[in-house]
Amino acid sequence: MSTQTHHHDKDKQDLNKFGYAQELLRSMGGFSNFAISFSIISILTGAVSLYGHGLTYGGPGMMGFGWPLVALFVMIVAASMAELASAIPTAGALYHWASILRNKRWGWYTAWINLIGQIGIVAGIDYSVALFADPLLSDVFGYASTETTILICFAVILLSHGILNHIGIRSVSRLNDFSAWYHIAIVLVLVVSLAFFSKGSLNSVDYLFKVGETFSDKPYMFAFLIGLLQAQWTFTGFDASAHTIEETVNPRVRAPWGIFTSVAYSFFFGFIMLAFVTLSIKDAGAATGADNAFIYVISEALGGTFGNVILWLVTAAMWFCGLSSITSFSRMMYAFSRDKGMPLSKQWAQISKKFRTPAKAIWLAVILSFLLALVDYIIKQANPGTTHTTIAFMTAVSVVGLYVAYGIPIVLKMMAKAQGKFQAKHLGPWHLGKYSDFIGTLAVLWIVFISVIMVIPPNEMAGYALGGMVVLLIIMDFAYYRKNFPGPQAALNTSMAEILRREKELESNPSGGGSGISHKG
Amino acid sequence: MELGIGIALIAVTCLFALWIVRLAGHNVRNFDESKHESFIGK
Repeated sequence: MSTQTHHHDKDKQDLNKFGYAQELLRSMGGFSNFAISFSIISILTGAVSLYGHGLTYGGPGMMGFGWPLVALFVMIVAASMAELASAIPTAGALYHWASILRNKRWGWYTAWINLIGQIGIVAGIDYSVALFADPLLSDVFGYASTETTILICFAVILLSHGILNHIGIRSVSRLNDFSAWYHIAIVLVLVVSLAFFSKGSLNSVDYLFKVGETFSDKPYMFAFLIGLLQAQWTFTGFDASAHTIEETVNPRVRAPWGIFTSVAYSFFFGFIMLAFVTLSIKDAGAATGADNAFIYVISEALGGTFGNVILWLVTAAMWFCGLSSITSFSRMMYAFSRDKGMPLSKQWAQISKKFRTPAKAIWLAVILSFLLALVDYIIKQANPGTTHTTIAFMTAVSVVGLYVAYGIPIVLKMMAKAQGKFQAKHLGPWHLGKYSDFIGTLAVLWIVFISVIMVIPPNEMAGYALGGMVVLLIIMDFAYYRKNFPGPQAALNTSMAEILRREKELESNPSGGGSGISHKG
Repeated sequence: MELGIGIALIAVTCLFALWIVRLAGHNVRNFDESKHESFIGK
């Protein structure tokens, strides 16, 4: 028996123990699992699209101090999550961890908060692509880039991601692998270009760590905290390695490594990129006043044509990021729906027989993300004087939604451990040993801290939106789900015969017709 | 002064990453499957 076959059987048995059938195609290796999170973190999306935000509030010191500070604490969060992924390797991840560490209602709230964050991250990423792509396309085709054309561009980008995700994890996985190398290559091209071909000399290294200079009307320390959104939003989405855990071979080792190393490598390459971009700034005040500070800095340093080429390359990297984020989001909804946690759950839990992907969940992810941008568009059209930016709104929603969802199972694990329910024998191969609680406590403190600073003005709109969504969740919970949500415990009552029947049904018809296989109520 | 603090912060972040890689890597290598039990919340 080959090692691969042995792992497949063992991985399937591990999943069956939780009452779930192996429905998704398990074909991802360790690099692919890392690549999906690395692509969603996408230093070329978050750090670039919010470069102006970081520079405006924190000045150049935001790149020198803000980036490594946030990276340090995000690695702490990632390490705690990686430990949980190794112990409980299911696609529901945060939702499933919270459910079985405490109870189904904790799981239900965690899932919805995660879902809100996922909507924000997909919308934020693809809107970033549109913000970059639309002006570039307008130059090529000679039209004026407006809020409306950006929204149309955003819809087309979402559509492309929906189609590719629908037709299969193998093609998406290959694109993710390519995306990881592509990100590194573009960062290196950018760094080498700025180091050797920049007009004039680079600033001294001291400039990167210059504090006290803000281009906002806020006091510096307060402005610095607001500016942390740039790094904090970049370091989101690494839960993708956990959401694709049922598609990963040897997931108890590979998924935790994927979670942690995607953050670590993003810190390293992201810092190098931000350092060189910041050192090539000619006029920080003018950059923060430009429509897009990153485009302005690159164009000033490398000239219009070279700058344009770099921008096309960066835009392509962002597109890859959006592709991966839909994969992660759809798997999260699929896993939650198979436990009947959402309206019309039966639909979203369906697996396409032909492609072995949660096709309907993929399209729901596309629609929900579009709706978030559409609502913001309508608000802006109705109130032309509004000061918030769409991208800051979406990113703040995703940061708070995702990090609160990351934090809940970490807290619940520490509580379950203190109660003696979660013991050393429950840990997977990847764990933090005696440092687990200390690291978990630091992770939770950081999450509380950033959840507050991400919704203070000028991002108060994100706070209101999140507050409104939480009120809606409470209404939904008390009106229906409190009594009717079965949670993952119901799956544990599924007989092995039923699990094997589902697996056989998919395996016997790998390319057959029909729309999909659904979970029976 | 700021340059020194900044470099120290970057060094701490890098060292933390390496420490976690070493710690988790050691635990993965020494994992005893026979002592493991799935946590299913029951």
